[in-house]
Amino acid sequence: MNSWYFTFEFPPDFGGGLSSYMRIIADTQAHRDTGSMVIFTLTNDQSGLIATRQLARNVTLVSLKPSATTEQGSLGHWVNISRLFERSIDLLMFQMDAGLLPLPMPDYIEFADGFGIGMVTIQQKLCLNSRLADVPIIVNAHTPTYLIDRMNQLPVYQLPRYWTSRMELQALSGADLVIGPSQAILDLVGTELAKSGAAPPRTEVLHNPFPVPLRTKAQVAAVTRDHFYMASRLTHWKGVEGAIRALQRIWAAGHQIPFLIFGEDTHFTVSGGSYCSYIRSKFPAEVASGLIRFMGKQSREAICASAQTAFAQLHPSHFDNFPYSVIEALAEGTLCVAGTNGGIGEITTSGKDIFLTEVRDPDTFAATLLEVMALSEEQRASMTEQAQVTVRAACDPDRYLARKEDIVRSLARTRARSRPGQRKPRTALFPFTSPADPGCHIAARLPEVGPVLSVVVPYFNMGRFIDDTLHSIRRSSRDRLEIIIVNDGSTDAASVARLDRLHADHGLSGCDLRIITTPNRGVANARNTGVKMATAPFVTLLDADDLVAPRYYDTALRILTAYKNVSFVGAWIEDFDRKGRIRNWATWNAEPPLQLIMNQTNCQSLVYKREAYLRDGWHDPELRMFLDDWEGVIALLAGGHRGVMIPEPLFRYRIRPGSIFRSSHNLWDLNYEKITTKHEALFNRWGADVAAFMNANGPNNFYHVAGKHSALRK
Amino acid sequence: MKQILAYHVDASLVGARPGQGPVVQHLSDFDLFDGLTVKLDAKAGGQASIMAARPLVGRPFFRITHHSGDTARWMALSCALDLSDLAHADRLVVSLFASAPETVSVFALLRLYSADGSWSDTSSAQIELRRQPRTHVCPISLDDLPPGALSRANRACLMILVESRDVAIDLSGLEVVAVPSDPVTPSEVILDHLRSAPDVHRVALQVVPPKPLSTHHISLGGTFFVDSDPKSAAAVLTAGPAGELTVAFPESLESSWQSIEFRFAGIADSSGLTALFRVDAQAEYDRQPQATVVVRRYLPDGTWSDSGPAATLALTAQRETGAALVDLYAMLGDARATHDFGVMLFLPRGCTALSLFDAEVFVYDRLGTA
Repeated sequence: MNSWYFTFEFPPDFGGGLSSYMRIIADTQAHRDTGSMVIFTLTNDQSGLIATRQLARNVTLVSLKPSATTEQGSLGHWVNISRLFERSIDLLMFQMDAGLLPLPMPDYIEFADGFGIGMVTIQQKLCLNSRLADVPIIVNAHTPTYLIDRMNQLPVYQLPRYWTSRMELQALSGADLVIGPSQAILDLVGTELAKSGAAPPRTEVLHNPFPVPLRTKAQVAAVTRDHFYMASRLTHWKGVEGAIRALQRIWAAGHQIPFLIFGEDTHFTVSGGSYCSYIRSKFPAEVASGLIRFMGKQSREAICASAQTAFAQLHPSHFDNFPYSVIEALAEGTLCVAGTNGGIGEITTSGKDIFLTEVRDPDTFAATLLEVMALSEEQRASMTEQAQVTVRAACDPDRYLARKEDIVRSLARTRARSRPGQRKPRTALFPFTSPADPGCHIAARLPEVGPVLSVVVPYFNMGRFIDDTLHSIRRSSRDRLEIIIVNDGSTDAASVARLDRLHADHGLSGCDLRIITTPNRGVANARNTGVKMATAPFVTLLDADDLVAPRYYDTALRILTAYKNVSFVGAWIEDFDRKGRIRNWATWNAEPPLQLIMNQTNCQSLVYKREAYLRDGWHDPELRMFLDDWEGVIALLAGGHRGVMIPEPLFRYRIRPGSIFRSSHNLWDLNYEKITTKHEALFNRWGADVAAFMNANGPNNFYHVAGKHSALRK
Repeated sequence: MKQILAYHVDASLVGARPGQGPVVQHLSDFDLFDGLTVKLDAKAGGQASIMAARPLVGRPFFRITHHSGDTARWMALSCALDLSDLAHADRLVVSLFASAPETVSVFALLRLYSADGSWSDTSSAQIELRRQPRTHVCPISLDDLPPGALSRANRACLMILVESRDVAIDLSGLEVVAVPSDPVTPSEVILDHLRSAPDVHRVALQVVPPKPLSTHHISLGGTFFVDSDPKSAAAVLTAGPAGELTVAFPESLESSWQSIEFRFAGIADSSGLTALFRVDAQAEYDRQPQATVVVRRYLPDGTWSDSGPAATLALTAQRETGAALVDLYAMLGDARATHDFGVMLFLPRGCTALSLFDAEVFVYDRLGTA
């Protein structure tokens, strides 16, 4: 099969478990006679955006430099990367279709789960991008970074960390398949998704691949064993403290056996310094006496050499999915002691090829260490030989890829059972992480006759801009539009006169364009009036100085008709002025809790099922034209609706010095208070998340881009 | 510097008077100039329209408007490059004389295709075309190509990749200049000084074997090595008629690398640590003879790690002296106070013989021996 893999770690630029996995996958493919693999990774070690080279005849490495894009600054680091990966898929497929690249289409695409790097691609597929329709997208749950952050006692509500956690969960929820190196991680991810009510994705367990060379059985020799060691990055969740507390019992019993700690030091938020200095300060006597020794980062060969006289490698992690450091040690013939909380126990048996113990209970842990110390060399040899057999059987790389391909074929068979020639989404429900109320499921179809979409344009003295706006609507790839301009009592004579010329100047009939004049009552009233007067089953709003991309309406309507649980659709925003694009602003599916705290949608230009707007989406005139469009989205969420944002800039928002938003900022606090009071039940339901988020990031006028830090620094 | 490509919209292509010409629609690829093709994503619904225009003041231009249809979000301007123009280039500087009524992101990409179906890319960073017509510069570094990519290539292509959003670009012209590496030409006075200075380390080719040596790993004097890919037949060292050392590499499709190495041990780290690699040589080859200088670090645990390419040297069939400067400090890493390393010349596949009349590598502090 042909596969594309996306990773943020690849050797030699990076080490770690993901890097090891990618190296093994690439090496395995390189030795195959059929199929091809393209690996996309990140680097800062090149001048330009893209560099491509062949690692082997059938393995290509595409290195991407995120800082060489034009959007790094505006989107935030990991959002930019997720978008860069999606753009790269599109770029390669374009080149393949255009005959510029001799590359076969992928049979599947796999993303590492970390930082939600697959989220924008998965969202594109869910938004019915035809390029991705027939390519299964897999997310490999190596362990979401926010779970690691939580175990490392980092504040997970802080931006942008909070946002990458949402992206990770959205990617897991929306993937065609989630592969877990262990059932343990799948159970954990399932629990996390269930907290907000997300439907579980299809999952499969595939233990990570690791090649174990066949070795001749060595003679059992007498060895003087003189230490325990661990080999992991020095972080809190790797459980160094737990190991030391267990060893303290051993030392207190008179066994002066040193504990060697191999691994790179890291920053520990709780102590404010390095993790190594934290351990030194907590166990000064043991460090001073040499019972605890920090060996630093060393090569695997050096660790292996040291392990020849070790009692065992300890792996006391609070949780570990399927740690390569343990697999490597078992494959090398080193006895291991690991925790019961994780995936390694799914292929091993305590007492037969490994020792599994409660690493958070010092007494139990210490008892296991004594058991290890008491082993004869014959018993040890038997266990380590069995460990190699176990790893060879469970982690064979060729069988790993073959099994994955079998699973992909089964996905394809499932898809093929749907009506041929029809591009259907995976299910009729969009996989929101916090689902819509079933009472808000509205099945909608495009009407056979009459307008499909009513475009409501509130108009107050916008004579200078309305022609550009109409022109952008007319360029839409969607036909059968009905445009309703609601003249909200314009006072500027030229703007009023302009309205009289619009039909003639734009070639629009009275059915194509309806102009309704009302007394001046504000933009919310104008929008509501237009929606009331609309005749199409779908409505959209568009301010008279903003623009839409030709594909916006068609794409939005396809999503609205495909998913009954989607009540409204938006898109990313391009902010622009007379000089051109100012930035792209990423919008995100309208879901609590974040939508309650910061607007994440193009709320002034969403496309709605009209029934949803009429039921719950009215804009509130009491907000005096400020935050009323955001409140309209919150009202929809309060009513149980959910909205999808197409992850590309299809709406263009004009930034003008005299615009309402810019001149009414003094209403921010007052109107937000009104919004929270009006939707008290919704805010109460999500209160814990809202409180934690605001405590971590400050009031909501300190952040505007979910992928970037809050401007407030404590 | 050498201009290797130039396209300009000239007066004969547009009307004699200011204004705009008719709009021509294209549903598939079309030539903008002879040799410069606009590639559309037609399968995804991509189309383009083109209009020639002449402003009152300023360059005439083609307005290329992309229509993205269903999912077409890229467009490319594509042209072939002559491989021989790239042989001595360090960088390509792509100049776009262009603007865009609504902002458009673009970048330039160089692709080398090989006969075996593989390819290599290197690109510029992304830039934005905005309303103001100006010269936009997109430098492409050839250092980001894998070693030997140029020597394996049988054709090259330059693409301007336009991230298209139903917007237009106004293109007046495109030029490409190949920028060679700065020549390194130390004088005999400097070389004599380097050869005798006490704080300069030197490994030179001095020992010529009395009879042919043939093995995959050849060591002369413990500091000069010749290595060839174990998958191929071994290199053969002989003494040539003029006292030169001739290394014959076997022709083999399996052979992916062959190298000569000058090795140094126990060199103290310093921020100005530099290597001057100098060869007086000629080569037999069947393709582009560009050799790559790489620094190999030898680590205490017996492993090694390569950094580079640090520089390139063009080898020709005529005997020539070439030199390259290498910033060793950047290549050797922070971990140690003294370094064991080799300065290596990786020879391209297709180089069948290398005759070394003289070769030496000096390691010194860049400002320390003036």
